[in-house]
Amino acid sequence: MESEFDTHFSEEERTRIFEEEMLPHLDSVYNFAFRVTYDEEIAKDLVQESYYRAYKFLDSFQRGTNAKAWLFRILKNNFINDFRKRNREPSMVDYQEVESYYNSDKAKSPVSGKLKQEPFRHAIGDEVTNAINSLDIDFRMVIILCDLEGFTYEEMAKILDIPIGTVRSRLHRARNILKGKLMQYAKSLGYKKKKKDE
Amino acid sequence: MYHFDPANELGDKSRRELIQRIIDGQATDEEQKWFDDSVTDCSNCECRSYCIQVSALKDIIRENVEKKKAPADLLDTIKKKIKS
Repeated sequence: MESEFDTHFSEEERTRIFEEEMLPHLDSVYNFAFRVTYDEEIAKDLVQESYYRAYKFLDSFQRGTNAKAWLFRILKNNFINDFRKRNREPSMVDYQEVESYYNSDKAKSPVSGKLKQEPFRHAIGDEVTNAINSLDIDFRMVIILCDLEGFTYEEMAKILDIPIGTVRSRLHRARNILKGKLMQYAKSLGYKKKKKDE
Repeated sequence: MYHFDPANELGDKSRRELIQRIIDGQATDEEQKWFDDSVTDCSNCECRSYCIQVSALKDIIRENVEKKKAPADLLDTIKKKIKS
């Protein structure tokens, strides 16, 4: 039977590449989907659709390159182009504004100055997850990709289709917002500044 | 080619970016050496303070945010979908 997919791989090769290089990343891809959608069923649909597209367009994957990053990029595009529209995710951040902020004196954040003693170390479990979930999607993505999945800036830039400089500034900004949120939580627990760094 | 010169006075933004690269494990050897030599032992330094904050935040995220595993039936569902 003729394959429905345009390919120079045989059906057998296609299946082998898919199973050996794509499927081992299923947990990470699902975790990413869940972290951007907060919904197990939607995440499952998103992962299924992304894997289907990966299989369909397997010829555009260069063997020997990072399959995980390639899958994440497909999922991100799928999410942005389809799922987010369908689920009416809140509007995107104005990056011109963010970049202007980052390049300004205001970026010598009063938050970072107050946080020398790391009060957010006291924040735990759900509070950390809630703080991440409350970030705008574009900030949340860089935190997940960098701090949970360990992608390099270069890989993140490819996944997100943005310049490396934007990855760095977005990450910096996302972390500052997170610090602020976790500091508020620490204060709500009655945290007071320590005398010395641990 | 970019050459990192420790003697250069870095602006705040450059310092923050450099420290972020170091904490994320993406600094060059030269940058890492400068950091180890100049910043690690500096007890009254904004760089060190920023470094502690970002490191702590990364640790907190890694230690407290659960990595969701794919549901047991998802693998089979995907295989069925591509074979259908």
